[in-house]
Amino acid sequence: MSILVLRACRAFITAVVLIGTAAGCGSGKDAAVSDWAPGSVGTVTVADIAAMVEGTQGRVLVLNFWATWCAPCVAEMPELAAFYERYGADDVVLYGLSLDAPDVLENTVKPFLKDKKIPFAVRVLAERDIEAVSRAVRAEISGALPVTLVYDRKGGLVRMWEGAITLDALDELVKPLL
Amino acid sequence: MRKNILRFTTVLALSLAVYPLCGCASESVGAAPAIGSVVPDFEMKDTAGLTHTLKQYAGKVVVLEMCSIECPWSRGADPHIVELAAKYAPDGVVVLGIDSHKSTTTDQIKDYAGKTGLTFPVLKDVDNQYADVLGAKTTPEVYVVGKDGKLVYHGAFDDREQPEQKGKTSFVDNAVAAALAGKAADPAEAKSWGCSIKRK
Repeated sequence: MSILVLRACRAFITAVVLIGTAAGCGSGKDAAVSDWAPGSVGTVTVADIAAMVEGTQGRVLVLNFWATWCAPCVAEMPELAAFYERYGADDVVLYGLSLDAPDVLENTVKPFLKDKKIPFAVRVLAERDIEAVSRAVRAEISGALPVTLVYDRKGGLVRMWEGAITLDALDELVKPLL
Repeated sequence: MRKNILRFTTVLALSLAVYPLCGCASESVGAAPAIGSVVPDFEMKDTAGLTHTLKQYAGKVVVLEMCSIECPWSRGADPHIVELAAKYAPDGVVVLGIDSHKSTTTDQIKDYAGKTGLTFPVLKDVDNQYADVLGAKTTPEVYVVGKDGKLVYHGAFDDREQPEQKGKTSFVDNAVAAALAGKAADPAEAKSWGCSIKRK
């Protein structure tokens, strides 16, 4: 019974958010999150990243900084895809943030993501200032790729994982947060 | 009421359990030396088998570049570091590359240096010991050491936004010029995108 009530509440809240956004009545945070649709690819500003991190609260958030030129990043992509498939997008959100050049979005990044069948949203950073990006993601990133950030449901940074990550490591980090 | 207390206690316990996870995955890596502090000495061999120490270059400005033969950002900076080495050679500035990657052999570095025309020695940092001492994480990551052995600059080579695109401002060039003039570098620190050092 209580599960049914919870599901009904979730459906109601989702409907309110969607209707509000579609009608232009949603907050900026909702608009920013709704833009990060699964499998979508595009560019992103630092302000958009900050809004996304802020707006994703309520779900566990995983951010992965990567690039097509970064061998360990490419190697861990299947692990990230498997993680995304395992958890879906209801309780856990995974986004990729690429350091590829915006002008290779069409001819390098998109074909790469298509070839690897990456199911989660990926954005290429249109602004590269590390200090500004660090503030947006609320983490002191060094600039070394890959790096994966894990946030709890309240938006608190739980872990900054520097270097390649595995499905098992992500499982260990995320499960206690659910 | 008891349920609420139990729930609160559980949430508190989970929070406390999660808190220590904050931080870096590379737990053994030390903190970067502060600007103005003495840079720790090292003893490493280059690809010709010659031993280098920082101490032997006392009285000279030394540029240490954490580098990689595979990382596009590091490879992209190499030609510009060669230019820098040539520009400041008359001033006695010493440029040294340091490879700390576990999977890179001395022979591979030698081969890369020959093919790409590196003019400065690349030292092999076995078991990333010196990278750990410096708290180095990225390639390229540069340390400019003043004539007095103190750290003048730490961070990106320049402000490039792409691996092979030369930046508009060379932080390292500015820092070397400042060090030669006995002045403080501005900026003294700047982060760089790049590749992570593959540690043992």
